[in-house]
Amino acid sequence: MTDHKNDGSEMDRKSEEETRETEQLTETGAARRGFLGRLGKGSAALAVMGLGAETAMQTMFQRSTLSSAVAAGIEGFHVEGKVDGVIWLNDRPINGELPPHLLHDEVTPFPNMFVRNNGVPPEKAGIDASAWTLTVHGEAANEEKSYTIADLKEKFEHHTLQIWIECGGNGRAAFEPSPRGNQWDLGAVGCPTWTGVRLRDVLEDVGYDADKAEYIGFKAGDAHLSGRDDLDALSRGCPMRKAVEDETLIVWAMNGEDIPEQHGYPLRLITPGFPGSASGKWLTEILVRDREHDGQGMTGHSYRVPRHPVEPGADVPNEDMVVLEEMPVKSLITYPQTGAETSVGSTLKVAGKAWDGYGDVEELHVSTDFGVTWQKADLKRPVNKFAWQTWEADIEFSEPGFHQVWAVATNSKGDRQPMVLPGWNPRGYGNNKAHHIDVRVKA
Amino acid sequence: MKSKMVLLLPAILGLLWVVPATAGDHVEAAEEYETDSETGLIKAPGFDTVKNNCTVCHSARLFTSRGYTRKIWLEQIRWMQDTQGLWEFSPEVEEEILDYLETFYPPN
Repeated sequence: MTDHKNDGSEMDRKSEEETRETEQLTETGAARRGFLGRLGKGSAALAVMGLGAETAMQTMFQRSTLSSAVAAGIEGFHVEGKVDGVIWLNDRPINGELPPHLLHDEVTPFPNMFVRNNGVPPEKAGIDASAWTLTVHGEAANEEKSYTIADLKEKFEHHTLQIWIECGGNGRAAFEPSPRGNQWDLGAVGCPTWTGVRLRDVLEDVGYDADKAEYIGFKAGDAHLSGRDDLDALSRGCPMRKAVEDETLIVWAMNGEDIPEQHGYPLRLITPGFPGSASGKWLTEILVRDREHDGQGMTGHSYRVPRHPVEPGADVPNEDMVVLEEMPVKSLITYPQTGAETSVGSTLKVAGKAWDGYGDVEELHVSTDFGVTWQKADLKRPVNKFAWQTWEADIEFSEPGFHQVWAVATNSKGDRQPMVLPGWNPRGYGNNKAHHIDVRVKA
Repeated sequence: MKSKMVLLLPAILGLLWVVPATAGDHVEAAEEYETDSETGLIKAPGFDTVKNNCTVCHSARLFTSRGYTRKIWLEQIRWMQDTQGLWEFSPEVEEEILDYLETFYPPN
């Protein structure tokens, strides 16, 4: 990890900024860190430095009108059964994330699982699961074939795997200029267990032309926000190479029970390692396509990143955008909560999760000096491929004061999380910048 | 404290620089207008049009959590019209919506 030292000057600047920002955090405001930080300190500084008056005015305007509304998520909104600390970013469609300390469970329970909806889910009360069917068809399928959930259960081998799902836009809030979309901070990720059958087994039962088949696409039972029947809320998919992997599943259970309404009842797809939108909920159809699927959320800028790096704010033509596939290596510190206190000479146990779009995290390191030196954490092997991995480290502080603990994961290919913000992209995907917590150390 | 900052700084800035009229308007706007309790939108000119056209399918939060330039706001409208089932606006309605968003929800 010595090459992290090369980040010196850039890191110092970023760290100072982070420190100032995090000092202003409240528990529920954590999700809006960058935004709050700028609002809190921006106006006076800009005025003093003599930057453009209009910019200063706009900053103050933002402060006076938006900060309180944005900081805590939507007040008074709640999805039944979800833990109180969920930060609800939107209620129509429903979108909510967790602060990192509420993601400490090894297997994410329903109350702590983030929600990302593109449309309006079908109401569970109105669904007769025994009548729900999955139809497989498409240009490269040998035939059209439908299965009830009972058919799937009876016909194919069952698999229960713990698999993380992370929204492609997790971390979007940190990018500037601000990309459109939900302003996710850190917690649009979770790792429950899923029970179902392999997509590959179902595709083989239907039969498909392996030379022709390029991609699978899904159709789902949620309604488009406009209410129009001719529009899908979301119809994404994955290339065949991913569709036929051992861990790509069609599932009917989450954590051993029926999938909850907001998470895809009664049937969904799990496409591990890919952005969460590839794991279609309320699954009704699978298309075996002879081309890259072109459903809702596959084209334009949606769930796509520039083919080559671009400058922040660039106007990237559609033809230069490619589908976001494997999510980058990432980790979170889930214990203790940021703002923890300890004292010189005592040991602070720090713990968290790590995951990678290709399936294995090899190492996790923590630093208490902004990356100058690193300490290797105890990282567990995953319970199965694409389960997130738990890690912990015992940390001792030699001097009192305000400290930060940073965590950096390294995947099996040797890719490490950056400590600075990764490259800007028009919709703000794939931010895997290292996470940190603040720790106050008493003498 | 917050309102003092907002009122004082423009005054100070006004002495030091010639403050563009539009920037001053922004600050006044923030003080002058109430926030709609239902949508969270600022009840400034254009509010009714924006509420009626932009919160039918989704909450206002989808577009007010961050601010954008007029160009990006227009791109977003065109994207919704092309792919998401948004109806066409008359030129006057489109102007009113863009004026409102550009003025009250500019880039952060």
